Amino acid sequence: MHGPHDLGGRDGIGPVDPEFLKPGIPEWRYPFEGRMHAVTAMAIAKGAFNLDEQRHGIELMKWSDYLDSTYYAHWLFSVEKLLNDKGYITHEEIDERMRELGTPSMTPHPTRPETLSPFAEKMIEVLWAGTPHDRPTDQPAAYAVGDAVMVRNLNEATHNRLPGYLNKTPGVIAKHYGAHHDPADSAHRQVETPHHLYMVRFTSTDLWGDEAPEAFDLYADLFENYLEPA
Amino acid sequence: MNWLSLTDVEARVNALESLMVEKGLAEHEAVDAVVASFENDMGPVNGAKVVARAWTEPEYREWLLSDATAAIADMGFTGLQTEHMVAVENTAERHNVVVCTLCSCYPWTLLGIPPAWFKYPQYRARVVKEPRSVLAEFGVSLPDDVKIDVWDSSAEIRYLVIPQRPEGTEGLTEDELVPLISRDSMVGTALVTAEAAS
Repeated sequence: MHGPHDLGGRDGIGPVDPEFLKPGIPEWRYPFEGRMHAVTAMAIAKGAFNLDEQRHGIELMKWSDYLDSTYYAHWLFSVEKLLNDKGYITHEEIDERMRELGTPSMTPHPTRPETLSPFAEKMIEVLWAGTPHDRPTDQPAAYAVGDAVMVRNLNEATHNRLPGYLNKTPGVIAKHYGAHHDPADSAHRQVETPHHLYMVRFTSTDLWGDEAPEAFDLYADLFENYLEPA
Repeated sequence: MNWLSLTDVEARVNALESLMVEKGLAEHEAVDAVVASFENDMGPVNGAKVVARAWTEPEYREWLLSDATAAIADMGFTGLQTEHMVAVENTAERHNVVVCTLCSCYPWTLLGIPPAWFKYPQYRARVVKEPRSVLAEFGVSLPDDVKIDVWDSSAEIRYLVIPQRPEGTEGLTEDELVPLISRDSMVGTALVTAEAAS
């Protein structure tokens, strides 16, 4: 969908916050950031929702909230919505708990506990094992390296991983990765569908026009159903 | 709930964690353990070790360029968001820069948690349109004849930029090279110099 997250090429968003360019800033600047990240990973590990659902949930934020909120507010919005809609925790329960707990005092940079519970050990294992996304398929690939392709004019209001600025743009296949699990089917139907995935190369003039201010090439990883022959 | 209020967001994350623990979706100490793991065991020094080895071992560099997933896994850096890797090499003719325009995709176990500038809208919107200008704002001024390649991580493939090895480091060992290699140089928004990275 072309939601508030679909930012590539948008004008008027402004310069990078100079605060962010100061050296030595920790990647998690507030204690709630790491905790939000961790509970999200846990909910996924527990099977409450998957990563594609979590990404899609963020895309449903109000535009002004998305653009102006602190980054982990996005994760909070999505996780809260998923847990509510799937019947785990309601929005109202969170409202009530916020009132009960008041101002939190979170430990910044917690140390690893002396002994880990089985769940904590499992989570650390998950962090280092990861969850590969490649999938076997019998479907032959439609494209080969060097093929000229066109990105389709795809404007579905549901989840995909097609940046809007690539719509209707000609490109060249630079690499074929094999098949990966389709993010749309994962987000909307919680099923695994393998789709061939390609690295596609675009030129700055094809992207931004003959008067494009700069000359460069751009690469994006696109699923086969985003493409058609040129 | 004011989504633009930092204190509201913090209080709501706190409430959410509390409820998730009650409902069996999380454990407080496990949250501490996961946060500690990210902060202490994952970070750009992992990527710097990969780069330093590529600089000192030509065979490893070739392997990294042809099968980054395997070459990086060989050094023990596997895991969430580092499952599918591609390494792209900076040269005298070509400079690479990575972005995730749609969210904040980044190889966590290799480079750690992404910095704020990578995750917020401003960089994501502009670097796919004006990469040279954006790089100049990061202090990277490239000669006009250096070609720029921008990598938009739109699927689960994650990118590692292999920065150019600076002149004056020929005598350094792999271990001595590691501290020179900054996080930003592995995303493409900095060059490596012969002085230690901050």
